[in-house]
Amino acid sequence: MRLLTHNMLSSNIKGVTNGFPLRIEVEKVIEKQVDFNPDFLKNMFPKIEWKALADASRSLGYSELPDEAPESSLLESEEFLKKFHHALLELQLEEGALVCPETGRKFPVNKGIPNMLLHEDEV
Amino acid sequence: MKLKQLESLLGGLEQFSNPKVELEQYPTGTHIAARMLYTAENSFGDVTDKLVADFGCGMWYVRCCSCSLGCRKSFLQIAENVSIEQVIAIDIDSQSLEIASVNAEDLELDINFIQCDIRNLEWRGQTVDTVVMNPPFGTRKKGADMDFLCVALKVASGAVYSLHKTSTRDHVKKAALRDFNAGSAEVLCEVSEDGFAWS
Repeated sequence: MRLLTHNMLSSNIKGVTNGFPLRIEVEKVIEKQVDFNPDFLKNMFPKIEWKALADASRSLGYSELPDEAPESSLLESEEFLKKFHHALLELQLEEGALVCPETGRKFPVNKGIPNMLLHEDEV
Repeated sequence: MKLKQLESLLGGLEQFSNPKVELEQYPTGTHIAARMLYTAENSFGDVTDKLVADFGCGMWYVRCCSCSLGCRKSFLQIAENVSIEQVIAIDIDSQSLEIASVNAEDLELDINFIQCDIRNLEWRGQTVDTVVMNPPFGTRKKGADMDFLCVALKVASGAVYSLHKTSTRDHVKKAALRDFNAGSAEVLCEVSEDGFAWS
């Protein structure tokens, strides 16, 4: 699971009001090289919840992103884009769990696929 | 990318050996999947550099297809001037996800898989640009197609490309505009297997 996916997912348990961001429990992190595409990154930047991405990348062991959302003028800097690219697309949670911030319910992540299926009493 | 090349690529992919009737897992015909993505990319520019989500069962054709349209790394290398985008593929069924990930690996594509019931999908707003889907037509479970459409229109900031039975066309259009806040709803293509795509 890339942090791109983490940045969109919210806890989907019925009745939960603050389901974002999901906390990350790490068992295994992998890094996969992904082709660098500045246009895709520029398109994605305004859609990203920055703090959630910065915190998530730190929990995966990468601490190069600034804590606060940077000015969009930084998108002209290749150095910044490369860090953004690495955090968003190359860091991947292979094994672990996503944890609902409100209820503590764990959603397992196996072979990189988060399982967001709910139990009957959570729908 | 040439339409014929896309079709022949998709024709080689693995299909379901035991489709699950209750999930309406019929494979999407290659020519339909190819045509849908071809139109999304070449007529509307909804694939290149975009974040595309792929909803629902029986759809690994489209999964791999939407990737290959944009993926320089794929063995295809026929899509000149198209840059990589990311695809997020969601399915409720472990078996579908397994087949989809095998296909993705064969094609050397990186796809972001999520196991989830589309009806319970909870995203932080309109985070994707484009949704492509071949929803269950609702023949087994009434309203399943509308459930998919409702969620798709909630999470897509750009367009939704969806296949439906011709007999439900008016109903789909009306629901999209009236109940799900679609900006517009139009038939983009009629295909022989009694379905059509719209955005």
